[in-house]
Amino acid sequence: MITGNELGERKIVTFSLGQQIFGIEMAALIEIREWDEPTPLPGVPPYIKGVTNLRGTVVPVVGLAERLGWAASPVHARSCILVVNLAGKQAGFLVDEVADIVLIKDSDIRPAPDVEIGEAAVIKGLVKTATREGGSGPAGDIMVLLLDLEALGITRTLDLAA
Amino acid sequence: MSKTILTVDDSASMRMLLKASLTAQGYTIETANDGRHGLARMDEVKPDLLITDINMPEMDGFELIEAVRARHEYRGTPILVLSTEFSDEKKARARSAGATGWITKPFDATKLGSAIRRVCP
Amino acid sequence: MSEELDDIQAIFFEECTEGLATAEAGLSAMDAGDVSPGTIAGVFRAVHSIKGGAGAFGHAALTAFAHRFENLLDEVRADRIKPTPGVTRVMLAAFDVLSDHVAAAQGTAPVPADAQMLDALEAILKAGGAPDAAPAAAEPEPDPFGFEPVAVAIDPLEELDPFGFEPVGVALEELDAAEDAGAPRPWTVTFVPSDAALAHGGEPVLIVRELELLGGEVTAVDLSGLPPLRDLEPEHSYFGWTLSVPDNVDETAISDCFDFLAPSSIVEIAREAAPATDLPPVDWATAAPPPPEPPALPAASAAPRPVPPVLDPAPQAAVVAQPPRAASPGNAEPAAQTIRVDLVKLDMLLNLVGELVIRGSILADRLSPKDQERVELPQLSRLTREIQDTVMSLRAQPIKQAFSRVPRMLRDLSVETGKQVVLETSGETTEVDKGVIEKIGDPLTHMIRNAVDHGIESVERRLAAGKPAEGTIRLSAEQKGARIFVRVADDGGGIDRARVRGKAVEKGIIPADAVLTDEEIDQLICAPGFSTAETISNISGRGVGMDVVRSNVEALGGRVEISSVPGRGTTFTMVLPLTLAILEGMIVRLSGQRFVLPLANVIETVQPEPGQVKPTTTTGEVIELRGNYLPVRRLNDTFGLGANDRQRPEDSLVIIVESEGAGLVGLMVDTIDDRREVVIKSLDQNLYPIRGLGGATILGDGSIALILDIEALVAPASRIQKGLAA
Repeated sequence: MITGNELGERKIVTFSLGQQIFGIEMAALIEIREWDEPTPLPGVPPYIKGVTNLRGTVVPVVGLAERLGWAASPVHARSCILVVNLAGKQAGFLVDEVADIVLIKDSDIRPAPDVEIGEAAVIKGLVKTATREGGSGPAGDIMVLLLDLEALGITRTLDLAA
Repeated sequence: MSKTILTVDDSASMRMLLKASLTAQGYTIETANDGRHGLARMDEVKPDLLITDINMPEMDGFELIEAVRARHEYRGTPILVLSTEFSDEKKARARSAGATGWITKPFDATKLGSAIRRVCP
Repeated sequence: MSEELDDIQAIFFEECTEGLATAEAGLSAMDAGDVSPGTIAGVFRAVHSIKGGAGAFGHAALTAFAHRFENLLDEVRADRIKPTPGVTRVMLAAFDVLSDHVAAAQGTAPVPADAQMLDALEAILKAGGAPDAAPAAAEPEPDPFGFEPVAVAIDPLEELDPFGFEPVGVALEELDAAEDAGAPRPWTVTFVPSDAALAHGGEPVLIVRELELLGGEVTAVDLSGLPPLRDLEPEHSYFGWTLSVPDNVDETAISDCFDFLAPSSIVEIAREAAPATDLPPVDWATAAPPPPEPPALPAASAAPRPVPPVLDPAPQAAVVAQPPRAASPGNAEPAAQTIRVDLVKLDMLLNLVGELVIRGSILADRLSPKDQERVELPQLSRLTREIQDTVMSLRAQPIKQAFSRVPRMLRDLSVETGKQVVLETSGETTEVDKGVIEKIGDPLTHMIRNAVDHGIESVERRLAAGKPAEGTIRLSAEQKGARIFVRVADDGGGIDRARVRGKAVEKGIIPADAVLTDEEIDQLICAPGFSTAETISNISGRGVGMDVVRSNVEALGGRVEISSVPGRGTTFTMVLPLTLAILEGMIVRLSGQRFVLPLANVIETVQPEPGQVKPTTTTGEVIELRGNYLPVRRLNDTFGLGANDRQRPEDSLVIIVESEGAGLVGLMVDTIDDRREVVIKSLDQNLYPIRGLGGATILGDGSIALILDIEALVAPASRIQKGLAA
C-alpha cells in the first residue's frame, strides 16, 4: 500500500503518542480534527471510543494508544483525531499531538527495531527525519515509527473465548 | 441545411453508432428506440429519410414501415431498412411494406453514405 | 473517434449483459415447459441483438457463434423446428458458450472452443429437430452472401477477418482482374427503371447521380417512353439512361448503385466491346431536359467533421425509467422512455437528499410548533419525503435479477449430485440497490451450492427420515427498516455440529477444549481456513469457501447469519444495509444518551405505577398490563449504561413493542424526547455490525444517536449477556 512518487519520496504526517513519534502516510489522511467527545458504542472493545459525525458520515473513533496495547492517552487541549481512509473505510485515531508534515525518501526507511508495541506488525519501518525550523516537534533529528494503517484496521475478530 | 434522418433501433449502442457515423457525414440524426416511438417521432421530426431495424419488440420494422406508408404525407419519404438479416423473403416483405431499400448490418460507413445518397436527394 | 467508439461499445456490452439475462430467463422457462411464442421470441431477439452489435464492433468469433445460434432460434420461433427438451438442452448449452464469447469479447475471459457446439447446432438445423447421439461433423453450407462465419467453422486456425469493413465482392474483383486481358475498357451501363421505380420514395435519378460520382457520364437518354404531357403521371418513370463509367471502377461499386431498384427495372453492365472511342452523342439526348439541379453534395467527400462526444464517458450507467410523455395527437400510445444515468451522480443526489432530511430535522428542532405551522414545515417535510422516495427508487432494482440464475444452477446441481431439489422463491420484487445486486451474485451462488451439497440429504436418507424425497430450498428477500434480508433456507439435515467442531479443532481454528455455543459452532463454517480446498466447480467458478462469502458480504457492509436445526434444515441469511433509508423513530434517553427507537414496532407507552413492574424468579422483570404479563428489558442494563443510577420503574417509561422473536415486550427507558424522521446512517460502512443496533443517525445538532434494533434487544437475556458485539 505504500505509494511513493517516481522519485521514491513520500509525505508523512508525524505525531506524538506517549513517548514515541509516529508517522502515517499523508495520502491516507482525510483530515485532522480537534478532539470531540464521541458517542459511545455498546459492546465494542475498549479501544473503540465511540463514533463521531464527519460531515454526515458516522465514523468510529479509536484510541490509538489503547489499540497498540498501551494505557489510554489523556485528552488535552492539543489532542487531535486523525481521520484516515483504510481500504475504503474511514476511521479516526486519537493521538496526543500532531507534529509535522515531512517529506521522506523511501531509501531512508529502515526496518523497525524492537519496540514495546502490542502488535509488532503495525510498524512498517523507521525513518530519521530532521525537524524544520519552527516545527512543533522536538528539535533536532528524530526517529519516526511508520505505522501500517491497515494493520491497525478495526476488523472484527471472532471472540471464541467463553 | 443538412438533411435529417430518423433512425429507429431498439439497441442503444446501435443507435449511437449510427448517429456518430452519419453525423460525421453531415446529416442531422434523430433517434427512436422502437416502432411505436418511431412513428411518433416521424411527426415531430418530419425527416428526409427513415432508417429502421426490423427486429424490435412491440412494433417491428415491417409494421412501422406499413404504418408510415399509410400516411399520405410520407408516401414519398425514402425508407431504408438496416438489419442483420438478409433473406430474400424478408427483403421482399420489406419492399411490399413500402421500403425503398435494404442495407445489411454490419454496415460500412462509406457504403451507408452512398446508399443514403441513392435514395435521399 | 475511437474513444467515443469505446464508450458506445461499453453501452453495447451492457446491452449484452441485459440480453444474456433475458435469454437465460427465457431458455430456463422453455426448459421448464413454457414454449409460448412470446418466450421464444424474447430469446431470439436477445441473441439477435447481441449478434448485430457484435458485428458492428468487430467481434468475429462472437458474431459467428451468435449467428448460428440465432439461426436455430429463428427456426424454432417460426415453428419449423419444435422446441423439444432435447433441442432446449442444446440451446441452454449454446447459451453458455455465447456467454463465454461475450466475456471473451470484453477481454475478461479466453475465447471459448465452440467447434463442437457449432456442430451440434448445425446438426439440429440440418435434421430439423433434436440431434442424434453423435453430432455430425457437418460441412458448413456456403453462405451466398459471403457472410464470414462460415470461414470460422471451416478453418479455425485462420486469422479471423474483422467484420464489416471488407467489401464482400473480393471474389468479384479477382474475377475482373482475370477477365481483363489487355487494356481495360470502360463500362457501359444501361438503366431503364420500371414504372414502379418512383414508388416508396424511390428516385432513379439519384442512382444516376451516384454513378456520376463514381466518374460516370450520361451518354444517352432514352425518351421513347415519354407520353404527351397530358398523359404524364408524376409518379411514373419514363426515362432510360445510358452511361459510360471509367474502366477502373469496380463492377460491384456500379451494381451496388442498383441495390434498391424495383424489380422489373432493366440494368445492364458490360465492358465496352468496341475499341474505346468517344461515344457518339445521340441527337435527341441533348434535347432531353437536363437532370435537375444537383443539391449540395453531403460532406462525405470532405474530411469527416469532428464528432462531439455523445455521452458522458461514464463506465457505469443505470437505466432509469421515466413516466411516459404525452404523444402527438391521434397516434399510438407513447412508449415508456428511459434514460441512462451515471451512478456516481445518483449517489451524489442520494447524499444531498439525506442532508435535506437532516436540515428539515434541524428546523423542526429549532422552531416551536406554532412557528412550524406558520412556515408550513409539514408540507416541506412531505415534499422532502417524496423526493427521497423517488431518488431511492432510481437506484433500486428488484432483486429478481440476482435470483435469475438460480433455477438453472439448481437443475445442474441436481443432475451433478443426484439429489432432487425444488426451489421456492419469494420477495423477488424487493428493491435493492443496484450495487448490491451486482455483488451478491457470487455469495448467493455459493450458498445455494452449499445447501445442495451439504444441506440436502440424499434421497435414501430423506426417505428414511420420513421426509419427502425432494428437498426444498427457499430463496427469499425481505426489507425491514434499514436492512435487506436475503435468505437461503433448506429443509435438509442441518449442520452437523460435532463434525464442524472436530474439523475446526483439526485445522487449529479453535483449541480442543474451547466451549462454544451452537451459534458459534455454526459460524465456524465461515472461518478462514475452515473449508478444505473445495473443488473448483463449474457453478461457482472458483474454489471458494464460506469465508469468502462472508467477507464479500461484509465488504458490502452486511453480515451472514446462520441458523440450523439438526435434522430439520439450515438457513443462511445475508443481512445487507440499504444505502439510504429514512425511519420514523422515537428519540429516547438512556442515562442521558439519546437513542432512536423505530416507531413501526411501537404499540404504546406506559408510565408504570409503583408495583406494576415486578421481578420474576431469575433476573427478569415483567410488567402487568391489562391482565397480561409482558417481559421487560431495562435498556440501560442491556447497554451497560448508568449502572449506579438504577432508576425506579415509576421514574422511567416502558415502551411496549411488538417483536417477531418474542411477541410483546416492554422496553424500559429513562425518558422520551420526541418523535421524528431520521436518516439511517450505516454503522457497518466504517465499522461493523453491532448486535442491538440498527445503525445510527445524525440529529439536528450534529450529534449522533444510535438506532435500536428491536429484534436483537428482545432476545432472551442469556444471548444478550454473551456480549452485544455480534
